[in-house]
Amino acid sequence: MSTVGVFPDLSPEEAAARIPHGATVAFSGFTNSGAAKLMPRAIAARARELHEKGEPYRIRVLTGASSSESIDEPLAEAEAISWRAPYQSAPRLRKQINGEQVDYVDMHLSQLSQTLLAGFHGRLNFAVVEATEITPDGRVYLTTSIGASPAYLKYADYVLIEINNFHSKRVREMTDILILPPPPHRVPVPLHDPLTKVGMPYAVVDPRRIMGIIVNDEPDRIPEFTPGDVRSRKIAEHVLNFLLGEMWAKRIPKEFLPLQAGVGNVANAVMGVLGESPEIPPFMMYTEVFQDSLVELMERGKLTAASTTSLTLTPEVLQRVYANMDFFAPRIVLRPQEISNHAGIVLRLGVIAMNTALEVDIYGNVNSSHVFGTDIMNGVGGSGEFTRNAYLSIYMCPSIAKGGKISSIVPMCPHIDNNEHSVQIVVTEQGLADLRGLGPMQRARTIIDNCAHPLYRDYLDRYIEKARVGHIRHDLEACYELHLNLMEQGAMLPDLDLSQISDI
Amino acid sequence: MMTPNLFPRLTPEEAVTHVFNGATVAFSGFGNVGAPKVIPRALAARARKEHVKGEAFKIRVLTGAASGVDVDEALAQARAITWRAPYQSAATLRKQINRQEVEYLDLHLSHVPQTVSTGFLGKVDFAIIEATEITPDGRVFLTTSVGASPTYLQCANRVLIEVNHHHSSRLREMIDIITLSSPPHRNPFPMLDPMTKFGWSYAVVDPKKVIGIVETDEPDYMDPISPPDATSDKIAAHVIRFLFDEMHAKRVPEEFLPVQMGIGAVADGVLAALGKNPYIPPFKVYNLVIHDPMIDLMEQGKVVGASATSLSLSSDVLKRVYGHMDFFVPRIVLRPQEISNHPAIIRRLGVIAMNSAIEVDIYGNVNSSHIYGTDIVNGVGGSGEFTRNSYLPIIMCPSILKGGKISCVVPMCPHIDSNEHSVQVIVTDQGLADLRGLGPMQRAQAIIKNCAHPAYRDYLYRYLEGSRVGHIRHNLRESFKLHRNLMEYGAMLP
Repeated sequence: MSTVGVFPDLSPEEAAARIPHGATVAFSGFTNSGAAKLMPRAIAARARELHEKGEPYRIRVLTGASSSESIDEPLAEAEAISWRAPYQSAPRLRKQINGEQVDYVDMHLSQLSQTLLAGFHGRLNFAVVEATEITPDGRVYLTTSIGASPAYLKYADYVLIEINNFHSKRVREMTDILILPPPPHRVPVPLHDPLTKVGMPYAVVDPRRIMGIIVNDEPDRIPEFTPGDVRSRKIAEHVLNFLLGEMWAKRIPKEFLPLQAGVGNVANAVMGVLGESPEIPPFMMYTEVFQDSLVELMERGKLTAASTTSLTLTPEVLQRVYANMDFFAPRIVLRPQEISNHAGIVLRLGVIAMNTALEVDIYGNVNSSHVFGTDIMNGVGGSGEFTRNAYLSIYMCPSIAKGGKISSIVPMCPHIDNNEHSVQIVVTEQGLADLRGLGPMQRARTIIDNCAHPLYRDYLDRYIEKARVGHIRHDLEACYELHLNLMEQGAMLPDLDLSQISDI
Repeated sequence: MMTPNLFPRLTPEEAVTHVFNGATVAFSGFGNVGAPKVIPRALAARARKEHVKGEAFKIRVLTGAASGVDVDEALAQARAITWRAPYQSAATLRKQINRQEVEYLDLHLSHVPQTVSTGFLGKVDFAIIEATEITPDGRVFLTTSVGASPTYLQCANRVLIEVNHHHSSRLREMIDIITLSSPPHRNPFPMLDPMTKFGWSYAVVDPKKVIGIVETDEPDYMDPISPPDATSDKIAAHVIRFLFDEMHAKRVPEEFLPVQMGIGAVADGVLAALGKNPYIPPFKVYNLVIHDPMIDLMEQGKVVGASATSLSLSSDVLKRVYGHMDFFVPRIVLRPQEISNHPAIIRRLGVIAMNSAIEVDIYGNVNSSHIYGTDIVNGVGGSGEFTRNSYLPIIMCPSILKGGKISCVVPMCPHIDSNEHSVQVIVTDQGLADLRGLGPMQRAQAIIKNCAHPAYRDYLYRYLEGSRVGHIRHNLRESFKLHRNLMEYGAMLP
């Protein structure tokens, strides 16, 4: 159905001119997939122009999750962001956040829609949403990510639609959208399998609130993979062995359980190794990001189904999916992040969650967002909802970084995204610590012996010996010694001989 | 239905001869009620006897949650516990945990049934469960707490039932039990309201596993509730003003939302104040425990329904409830802790969660379990699941303790049970900090200005100024200075 003549066609510049300084603007996009593309650049250009004239121009920015190249980078470069939620992963924006030039609210992703609709973040002035089509009655067919766009469309005062002709209109066959009503009168979401569909293939907007549409055919900017390194491969093998052990012990059923995997090298290596293992049966995923490596697993029949909120695929792989929609459409469901990351559903399905950490402490607390407890990397993202509610929550990281100058196993984490009450398994290339049923001292023993790099084990042992005895031993004077050393001397233990460490 | 001659009647001493050294024993009990009484005492006596003989006798202990004097205190005094999960609040046991004589696993309470039934904690050798009745076909009618008992009855190899004649056999009319199947084939449960029932009034056990029954008529022992003090009155006033404003702004609907309330003097004070306030409409409770003040509010018509996993009432109040079951039965549902604390249901119902903390940091992280990050007090309990999934999580604590020697607002918490990503509102006697939509620096300003005691504000501001600039300012050399001062000099700012 054509929208010609129904909604005004705007140029990005015309549209950007209507967004005032101080506005709260929500963009579509969960990763760079499905992100608005022309408007952020036009707003950035407008900000620059106004700044040159000496006028202030900054906006408050919401997205589904990270949308670096498409949204955050151009806007941050123009110094056009004053406040940002719920997640980011853009180098320039990160610098501005850590320089305290931008307010950043780092949120659990599934809670975004509810807190927004409840009015907890104030009014939402504009929504800028990428779509393949909008009908005159306000049905919006989204592109490669759903994220929080349905909530933004429902709630924003004014709406701009970026119609993107690059994408297959058949993406809607994968899309399943519902918006939960406000509490207390809610019914259960009847989802009992990663592929269950419970909603509509489109989001809905009040057509009177549409300012106009902008037409575009730019693909999503999804970076190429970096190939897995030796450490990631070893971590993946430990995870594989552990999962096989759990199957033999019948703690994981023969048909397996749905998997969630984070983003990055380690997660890719794990998916690769699980995919190659003949002993792991074909499985399903219940996750937030669907990446290139999963397409191949699906083609090989190893991955039978996937639920996600974004198709984060490089343009070539996305074309492969678009060319073979008869195969992929019945195997992939794209959901709002409120559902893809929903605590209750993660719990119900018995998801096995595998996420990466910046660092882990000897008791199993995880820092996944803040270097030195101070500098934001990306954010907590979905790790909190998956780790907290999964059937098995697994944390992965290399035991050391920067050629051994940094140990990822530390006495105490200076920021805690997921705590010892939720984290069950910690894995490094050294080995795997199964923390289930262990008290704190037993946990510390297991993590140091199995996961810490041998170079750091003595230090960690001595930390425990000297610490104040209690349920959880700690020495509040020395607990951040490693972090302070790194900050001041460039290495956590400056006297270590690191010549034997190859930084692979 | 009587159980004549089906299950052997045992004395407590006979019953405990079956339990062996090193066994994992799961007891009923949550919120200090519904735990077996005479069998744990007999177990403690047996441990003492064995210890005198120089024999080892220690067991691994599971319960629903707190089981107070009946299980933890008796067994800990006899040094009969080697491992304990998922929660405790007993003085002697706490000491043993902090001396590292007992291994303690501090778990989110809704996870306990799943973690046990999947075998993540190993085999459960015995379940010892208090009930009002067991039928020959293995229906077990529980007493004042449901907790994890349905799972324990299902998973344990052998079962002992302590039949307690003190309790009203009409308790079953309040009870609603399901045990969830194992993933991935699970359906959503059709719970639309705190009062929805969709299960059975009894738990089920394979009768072949039942070793025998022991009879008693001993009531639950509950510590008396401390009356609200000036601090909790002030906290309550801030909370009520906030909730009233939220209603006014239509962020809380006119009909209100279900309320969860932690335990302790502050929580009791806030609950009582909510009950008295004419602008707060009658509301429902979705909680872990039902305690005395809720019964008062129910009688006044202010609480119109309550869901929990335990009826943690003092004996006078429990008597009042048993005397008016026609009134209370339709107003109370007792569920397994997997349901009373279920993340999805807390979220679906839009619960307003109000929990207390030991301390909060200037960024909104909460320590609710470990003093100095080291000494356990009780445990994370249900605070994690309610804070993490509720519509509005509110954390309450006094601004200072011990005449000002301790500030409950600190630069950094040395243990974090609920973090800044979940906590939305913090209240002390000084005021309320609404953290929604604020970045870390704005959060710190709001917490110091509104919640910290004036005597500590300067210190906290100076901490911020002296810290490394970043998304979250911290000075890792000074972050625990207040705690170290307290440890060394007896005051955070001597």
